[in-house]
Amino acid sequence: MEELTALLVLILVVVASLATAAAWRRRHRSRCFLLDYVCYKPPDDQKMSTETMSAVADRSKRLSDPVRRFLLRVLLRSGLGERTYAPRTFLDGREESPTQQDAHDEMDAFFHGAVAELFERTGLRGRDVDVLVVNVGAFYPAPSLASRLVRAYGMRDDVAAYNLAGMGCSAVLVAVDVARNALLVRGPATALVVSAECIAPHWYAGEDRSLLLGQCLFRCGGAAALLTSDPALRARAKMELRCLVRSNIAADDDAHACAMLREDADGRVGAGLTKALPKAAARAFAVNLRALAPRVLPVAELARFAAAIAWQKLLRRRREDAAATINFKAGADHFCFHTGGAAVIKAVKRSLVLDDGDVEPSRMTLHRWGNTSSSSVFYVLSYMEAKGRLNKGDRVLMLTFGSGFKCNSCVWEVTGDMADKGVWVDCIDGYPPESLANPYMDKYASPIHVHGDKASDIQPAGTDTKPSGEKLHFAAEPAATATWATAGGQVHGCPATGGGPPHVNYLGTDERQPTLTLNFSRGSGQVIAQLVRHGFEGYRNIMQACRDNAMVLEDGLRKTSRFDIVSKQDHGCVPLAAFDVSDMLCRRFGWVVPAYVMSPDARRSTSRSSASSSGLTSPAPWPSASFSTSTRWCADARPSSKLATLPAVPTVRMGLPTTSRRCCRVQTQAWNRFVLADKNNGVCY
Amino acid sequence: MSLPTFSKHLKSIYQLAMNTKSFLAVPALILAIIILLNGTPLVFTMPYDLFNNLCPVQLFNFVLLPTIVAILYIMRRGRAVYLIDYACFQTSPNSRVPISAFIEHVHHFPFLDDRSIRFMTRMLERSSIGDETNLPPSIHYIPPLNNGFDEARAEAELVIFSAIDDVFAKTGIAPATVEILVINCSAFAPVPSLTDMVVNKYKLRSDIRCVNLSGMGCSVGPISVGLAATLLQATPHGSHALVVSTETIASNFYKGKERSMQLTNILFRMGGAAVLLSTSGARARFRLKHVVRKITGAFDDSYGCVFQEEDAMGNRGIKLSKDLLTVSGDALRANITTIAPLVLPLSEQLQFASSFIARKLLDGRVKLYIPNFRKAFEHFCIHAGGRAVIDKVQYNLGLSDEHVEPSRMTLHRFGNTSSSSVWYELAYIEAKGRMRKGDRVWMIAFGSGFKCNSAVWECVRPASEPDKAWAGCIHRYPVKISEVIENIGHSGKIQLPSVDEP
Repeated sequence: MEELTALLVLILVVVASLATAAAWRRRHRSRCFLLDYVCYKPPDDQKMSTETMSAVADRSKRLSDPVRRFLLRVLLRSGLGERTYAPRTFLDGREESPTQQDAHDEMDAFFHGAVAELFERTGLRGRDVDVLVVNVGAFYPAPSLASRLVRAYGMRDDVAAYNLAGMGCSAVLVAVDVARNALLVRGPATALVVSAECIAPHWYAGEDRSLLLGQCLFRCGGAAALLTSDPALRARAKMELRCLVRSNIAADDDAHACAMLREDADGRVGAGLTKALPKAAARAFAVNLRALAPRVLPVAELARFAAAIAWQKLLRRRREDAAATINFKAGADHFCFHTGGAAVIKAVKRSLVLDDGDVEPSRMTLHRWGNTSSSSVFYVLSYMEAKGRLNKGDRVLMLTFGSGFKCNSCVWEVTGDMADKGVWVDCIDGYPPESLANPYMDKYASPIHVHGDKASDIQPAGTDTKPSGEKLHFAAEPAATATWATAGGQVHGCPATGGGPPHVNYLGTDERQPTLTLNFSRGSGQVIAQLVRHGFEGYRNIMQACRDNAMVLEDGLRKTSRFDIVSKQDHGCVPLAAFDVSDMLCRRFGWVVPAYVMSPDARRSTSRSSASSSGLTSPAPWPSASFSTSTRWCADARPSSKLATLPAVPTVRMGLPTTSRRCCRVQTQAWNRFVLADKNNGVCY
Repeated sequence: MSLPTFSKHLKSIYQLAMNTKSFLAVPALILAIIILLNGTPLVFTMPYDLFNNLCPVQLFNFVLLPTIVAILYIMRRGRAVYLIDYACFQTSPNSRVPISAFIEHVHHFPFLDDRSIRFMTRMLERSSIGDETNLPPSIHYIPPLNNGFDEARAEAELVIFSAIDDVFAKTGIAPATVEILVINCSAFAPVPSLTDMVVNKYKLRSDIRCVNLSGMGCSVGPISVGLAATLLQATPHGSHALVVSTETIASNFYKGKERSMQLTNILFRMGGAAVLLSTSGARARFRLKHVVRKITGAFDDSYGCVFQEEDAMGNRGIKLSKDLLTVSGDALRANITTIAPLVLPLSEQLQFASSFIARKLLDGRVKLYIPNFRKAFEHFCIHAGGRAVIDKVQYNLGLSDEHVEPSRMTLHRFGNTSSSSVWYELAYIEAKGRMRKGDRVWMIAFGSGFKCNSAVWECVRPASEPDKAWAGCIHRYPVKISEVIENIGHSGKIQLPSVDEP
C-alpha cells in the first residue's frame, strides 16, 4: 500500500503544481507593463507667447475690447508660460477657418513626432502592435485616426484598433483601461496607446466668456505609450500598472453640464465651463478616492484614518474644524495631476494634503506645455523622470479630471531604470523657474478697468500666480478702500475697477477681488454724521485712512500710465484723477459718469454734473483730463428726460444691455442685502 | 452511375463522415479501449506488475487527468458572453422621407444645380431605398439647417434614448446594474461624450466603465460588441454591458456639388440600436461565439476609399471612391480567411485547405475553393450599405436570395443606418419568425478604414414577439425590389458610376 500512497501523493503534487502554474500564468498574463512612452514636442515655430496670443486676439474682428481684455486677463493668470505651443492655424491667421487638412496636419505632425520616436526607442515596428487605442477628444474624421496610424505604420490587419473621442481630458486612463483589458484577453501582446488633443478646428470666435476660457488654456501636445503583457519584453519595461480606478458622476446634472461643448447664441461652438466645475471635480475626486484608497494605501494608514474618523465622530461637537485627513503619501511617492489649470492643481493639492514639492511637476508642466488635455499626465511623468526622481519601486499616482464629469486614477510602480530626459531635454535645467508669474503682467494687466460696464466682466478666480510689481500692492487694498468709500459718503466720478464677480459693486467685494473707488468729495451731512458718531478722533482716523489709501491709489494710477493725476503736488494733498468722457452726449451735459458697476436698471446710480456739485470740498479744482480709451457703456447712457429737469442733480439712467440683465438682478439683490444688513441709523459703514 | 452523380454521393458521404461528432470520438474511443486493455502506461512510467495490482489508481488517473485538463482549458478560455436582448430605434412617421419628397426638397436646395439634382434623382431611383426611411428633423428644413451642433445632439438623444428605453423595457433590467457602456457614433462626438449623456439620463452608477467610439465608420457594430465582451471579462459574473450603435445624420449632411460626396446624402438614414450583454446565461437570447475584425488600412486605396474631406468650395463631406467594391471584397476575404477555420465544418475546411495548397503549388492556376458558408450559418446579417455591396457579398459567398433578404429589406425600410443596420436585420429575421434555437447568425459589417468586421451569434431563445421597429410593417415584407423605380423626378441622361456605400 505504500506505493499506492506514494502514487497518490505524486498525483496530488502534479495536480497542485499544474494548478499553481495555471494560476501563475493567469496572474502574469493580467500584468500590464509600460514599456516606454514619448511625449510630443511641437516645432519651435509654433510657440505661442502672451504677445502672440494678444496679437491673435487683437486680429479677431468679432471680439470686442472687453472680451479681448478678458481673454488676456485669463491668460495672464492661467499659469501658462511663454513657451507653450499652438497649432499653425492660429499663428497663420486662419484660426477661424480651419480645414479638415489642417487638423490632419496637426495630428500627422504628432504621429511623426511621438509615435515614430516611440517605435524607434523600443525597437518595435508597427507590425508588432496587437492593440491600438487612439484617443483624440475633438477630432473624429472618417476613416478614423486609428486607421490613419494603421496606414502610417503598416500595422497588421488583425490589430484591435479603437478610436475614442469626446471623452475629455480624463480619457487617457480610459484608453489605458481599454488597452489593458484587450491585452488581458489576448495573452502576451503589445498595445499602443495614443492620446492627444486636436486644437486647430476649435477656435471659438464668439463673445461668450464661458466658452472663451478653454481657448486660453488648451495647447498642442500629445503622448504615445506602449503597454505590454509580453513576458519577453518585461525586463525592458519602465513601469507596471498596479491598479486603475474610473469614476463617472455624470448622473449628477450639474456635474454633467459643467464642462460642455455647446453653441452660443450665434451658433458658434465652444467648450463651455461653468461655475459648478470645481464642485463637480471635488465630488468626482472624492468618489474616485473612495475606491482608490483601499487598493493603494497600506493597512496601517487605513487603520489610522478609520481611527481618526471614529475619534472625530466621538468628538464632533468639540472639534468641528479639524477634518480627518488621509495621508496619500503613504500609498504613493509621486503625483501626476492633470494640468487642467492652476486652480485645479491647487484644489487637488489641498484635498490630498500635499506640499508644494509634490505638485511642482504638474505646475511646471502647465507652465511649459499648457493644458495639453488628456496627454498632460505623461508630460508630468516625463518631468519627474527627467529630474531623476523615479527610482525602482517608487509608486506614481496619476490623476485625471475631465468632462462628463469623470475622474480617473491609476497607480504605476517603477520597475525599470527611468532616467530619460525625454521631452524636457532642453529645458529641464531651467525648471522650476524663480517665478511663474507672467512677464507681461505689467503690459497687459490693468487693475483699473474703466470699462467695467458689465457686471459679468469676470476675472478668473482662484489663480495663484502672483502678479509682480507695484500692481500687487495696488490691488491689495480692497477692504481699506471700501471703508474709505463708505466713510467718504458721496461718490463723485469714481473710476472703479469693474474686475469683479457680478455681486461686486463699488462699495463692497469679496475678499479676492479688489474694488477700488476714488472719492474726491464728501457731503457735509456725512461729515457731521461721522463727527457726531465717532468723535473727533474717530473722524480723524477715518480721514487718515482715506488719505493713506488715496496715496496708494495715486501711485497705482500713475503707474498704469493711463491717467493723469491732476492734483500736481506730489503726495501733498488728496490726489485727484479725473477723466472726461469722449461720448458726445455725456460731454454736452458736462457730466462725469461714474465707472463703478451699476446697479440694476441704474435706479440707485446717479451721476452728477461736476459743474453743479457745489458742495465739493476737494482741495483741488476739477479740470478734465483726457482718458484715452473710450468707455463703451457711456454710449448706452441716456439722460432720463424726467429726471434731467431736476436742478443740480441730473440723473443718468443707464440703459444696460439686456444680456447683462440677469447679472444685474443678482447684483441688486446683493446690494439690497448689503445695504439692509449694514444700515444703522442712516449711516453706512 | 454517372461520374458527377457518383462524386456528388461521395461528397455527401465525406461530409457526413467529417461533420458528425463521431468522426473524432470513434478513434478516441478505440484508442482508449486499447490502452485500457493493453495497460500501457501513458503518463507515468511504472513497473508493469505494480500497474496490474493498482487498477483503481490507474482508472483514477484516467478520470483525474482529463478533468484537470478540462479545468485548465476552461480557465484559459474566456468567459462566455450572452446577449440578453436588443432593441432598434423605432422611427416615427413624422420624420419620414418618401423618395418623391426627398427629390422635391432637393429641387429647392440653393446649393444644387440641375446636374446634381438629376444625378441624385437617378441614384435614388436605383438605390432600392423605400419610401419609409427617416431623416432627422433638421434636414427636413429647406435648405437643411446649418450642420448644427445642438440639432445633432438632439438627434443623438432621440435615437439613443428611445432605443435604450426599449431595451430596458424588454428586459426589465435596472439601469443601475449596468457596469459597462459602449457607444459608437461615427460622425458626432460631443463633449461630454454620448456615454456621459446616457449616464446622466439613466443615472447609471459612478464606477461605470464607459467607452465612446467615434470616427470608426459603419463597420463598428461588431467592434463595440467585441469591446464590451472584452471589458466583461474583468467584471464579476452576471454583470451587464450596454452597447449602443448609432449614427447622426444631422451633423453630416453634405451641401455641395461633388458627386462622390452626395452619395452619402442619398443613402444614410436615421437609425440606432441598443444591445444588452451579460456574462450570465440566464434569460439570454443569443450567445456570442466569435468576433473577428480586419482592417486593411495599411494600403492606401483601402484607407482613402471612404474619406471625409472638404470639396473645392469648402463643404465638408464623405467621399466615396470607385474602388469601394474592390476594397470591400478584399477586406471581406481577409475576414473570411480568419473566421473560416473557426466556424466552418471540417469537410469544408479540408476542401479549402487542399485547394489553397494546390493553388500555392501550381502558382495560382487552381481557383481557390470558396467555402460554403451556408453550412456554418443559418442566417446572415450583411451590412445594408447599399444595393451593390449586398449584391457583391451575395455573389462572393454564394448566398441565396433568402439569405440576403434581411439586408435588402432593411435597406428598403430603413436605408443605410450605418453601424446599427446589422441589428435591424437580426430583428427582421426574428420578426419573420425564422430564428430557431441553435441557429447561427453571421453579422458582417463594412466601413471606412477600411474595415470588415464580423460577429457570430448562436441563438439560445428566439424572440417571442417582433421588435418594435418592425412590428408595424413586417407583414408587408418582403417586398419586390425593382431595379429602377420609374417616374420619380426627371430622367437624366448621365451615365452613372455604380458606386455604393458601405
